[in-house]
Amino acid sequence: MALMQISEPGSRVSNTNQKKRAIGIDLGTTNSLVGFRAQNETIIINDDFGNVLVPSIVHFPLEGKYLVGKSAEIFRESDPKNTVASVKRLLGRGAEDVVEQPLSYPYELDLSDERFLKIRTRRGSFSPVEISSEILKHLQNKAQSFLEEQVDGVVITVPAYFDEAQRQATKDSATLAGMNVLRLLNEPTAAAIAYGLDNNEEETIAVYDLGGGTFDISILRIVKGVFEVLATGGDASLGGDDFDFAIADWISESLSLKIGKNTNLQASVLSTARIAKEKLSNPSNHDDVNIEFMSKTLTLTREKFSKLTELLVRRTIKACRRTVRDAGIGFEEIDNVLLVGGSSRNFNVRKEVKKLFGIDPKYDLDPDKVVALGAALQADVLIGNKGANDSLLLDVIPLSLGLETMGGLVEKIIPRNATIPISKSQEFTTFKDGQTAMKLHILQGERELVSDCRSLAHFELRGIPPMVAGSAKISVSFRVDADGLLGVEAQELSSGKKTSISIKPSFGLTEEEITRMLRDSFEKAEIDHEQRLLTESQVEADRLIHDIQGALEQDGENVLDEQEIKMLQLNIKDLKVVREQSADRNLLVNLTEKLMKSSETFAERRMNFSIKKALSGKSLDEVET
Amino acid sequence: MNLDGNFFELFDIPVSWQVSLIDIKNKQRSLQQQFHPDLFVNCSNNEKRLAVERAAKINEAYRVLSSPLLRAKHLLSIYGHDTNNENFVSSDTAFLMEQIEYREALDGLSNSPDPDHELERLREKVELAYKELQKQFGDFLSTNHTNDALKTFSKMQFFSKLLDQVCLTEQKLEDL
Repeated sequence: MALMQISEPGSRVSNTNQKKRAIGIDLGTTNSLVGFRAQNETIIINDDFGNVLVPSIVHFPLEGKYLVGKSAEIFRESDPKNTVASVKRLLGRGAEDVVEQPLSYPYELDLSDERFLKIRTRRGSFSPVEISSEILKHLQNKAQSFLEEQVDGVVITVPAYFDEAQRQATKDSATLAGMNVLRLLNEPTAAAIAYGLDNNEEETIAVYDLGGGTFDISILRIVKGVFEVLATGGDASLGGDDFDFAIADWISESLSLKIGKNTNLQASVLSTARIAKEKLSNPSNHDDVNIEFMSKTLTLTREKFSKLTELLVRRTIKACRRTVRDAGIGFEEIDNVLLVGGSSRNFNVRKEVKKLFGIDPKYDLDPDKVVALGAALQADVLIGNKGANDSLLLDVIPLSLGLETMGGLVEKIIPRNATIPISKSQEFTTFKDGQTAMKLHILQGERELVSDCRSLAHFELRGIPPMVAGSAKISVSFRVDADGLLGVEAQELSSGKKTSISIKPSFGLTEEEITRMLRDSFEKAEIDHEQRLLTESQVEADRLIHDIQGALEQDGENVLDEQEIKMLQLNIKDLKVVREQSADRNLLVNLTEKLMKSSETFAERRMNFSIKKALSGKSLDEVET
Repeated sequence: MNLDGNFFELFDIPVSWQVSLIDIKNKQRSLQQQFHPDLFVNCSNNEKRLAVERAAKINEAYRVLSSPLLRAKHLLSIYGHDTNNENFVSSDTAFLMEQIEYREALDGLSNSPDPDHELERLREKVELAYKELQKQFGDFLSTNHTNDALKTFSKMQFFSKLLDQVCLTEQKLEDL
């Protein structure tokens, strides 16, 4: 163990006093937004057309730069095969997940690689991660040209109900876009932050978030600036898009259209359906909507629209019920319901939500912007610009993690709605005499059968010393970080042999693939890869020196003797010299590691010292070491 | 105090069956306000990793201490009893019969004319029995009747699983 920076409760550690710039991104299915925290307000950045909503659409033209946003949307009907929309629905999804829904994706899917699906365009086949990365790059550029400065960090929101594979894919997209991700933040939690309900009182709220392609329901308790998620639920593939599909189906049925593989016809039916839905969802509109299509007129009455979308709304209400029960509270305990996401404007949704919770839902903040506002606020807090009394978020894992056991069953290791980060160890033993390897299959989901859960990864533990069946003891520890991402470490206890892997979803990108893609993009941008690595190591060394010096100042004398302090200072000096005078990356990395090792004891003592302090609430002098 | 010690020590409370849920919730919150990874995003990678480990341990401590079954298991392991691979009640025929009855009641629900009502009654009965076992467990443990505590723990395991199944059945009924 090495050094751990300890801060006073409620204060954040920042390396420099200089103000840093962080942005919040709401990476949506239909639209994306980017915002930042200015002096006294949170600003969502307009695009050149004066819109805050950037359509999450990438167009691949015959030649030249890929187009993103409004300028890509123009090609949606005329060139659907090379204009990719709603790619978020495909993030972290394998070929088998894509149910053949002729109306859903008016572009061509490339399923030749069974590990993960791609989208075939005239400029080649691209994975959903690569396409999302284009959208993220576009948003970051937009922010940088607006702010006229570099962005140091970014918070990206994800649906709370996103599973491990979808979260990993989102993070991969950001890595590929060259971003420093401060946190993947759950959308409903971001919305709660934007509403800023931390008025020092205890409050329980429900956030109903119906976006373009995902539905989330979260129950939060807010106590003295701590936002704690009690339970989360939803449906990662249910959203406003499905309303469009329902209307489009009705149009093509009513007009007896033969859509088949005609992607152009598909695209224009969908876009007609979308326009009709938006008209009906406008709160000032109380009339039916006339639809003109192929010189025929159809009337979509409000009743018909309700009927078409009834089942979808009912699915969300069912999820709400289940999640309130999971939270272990009654409906009467919920003080506020927040409506988030463009699709929550649907009059049917508002009616049903009010009926279920028995209170008028709040939608004072623009449901399209609220998630981005929260992300921007939290980005500013995380980068260290805000001091005391800022908000702390305790989020949960939305779906249980488990391992395959005998007979195709799943044994749960970490249950859903456990507060993250969380870790858990489980012991296993060998099944046969002399067995030297063991296969582990990690799954996510609530069902009992392996075939009903999402397969996240397979990994093999090798080099178990040959023993009689049942006598080897293998401890496997699972750790979920604050982004909801999983890491696994395995250890054979009698020999101490350790294997650690970070889980990559079976159909996600491998580490090498990301490195290769990154390198490719650097080559294009003519940035020296080596130079970048050196800079990264220098930043890491600076941080370590800063952390340890700060810690020494604060607690050095409390937990170390004179000799120990001297040793640490000597190691710091060595590292500083190399950092300032040499460009030898290996030497720098070696000395950084040496300093890290030599500070282990200090870190351990300091941690115990400060836990004691935190729990007793006493001042430093009163605590015995 | 030792960070690598048990969860009671981590939260600075006596090693005992009795815990105040409000107290441990407050402890979890105040520790996270100091150790949560969000407070370390600008630190070195090594410290970020450590922050995750620490925060994970604090959350796991809360999870274990707040759940009757996990707390019982944790207490038994502190007293040196491995509860993983043992079955202490396999010879208890009365309890076996009880198990069968409960399972039959749950399986028979689908043929009942009013399954919702039946399920609610079953849930109440299971919860009551589970609570009673928890009380017994605490009594056995505090009077050093460890063997009886172990047997009670096994029964608690059954009831905890049964409650999960009741919840699953409830969901299935709702989804119909």
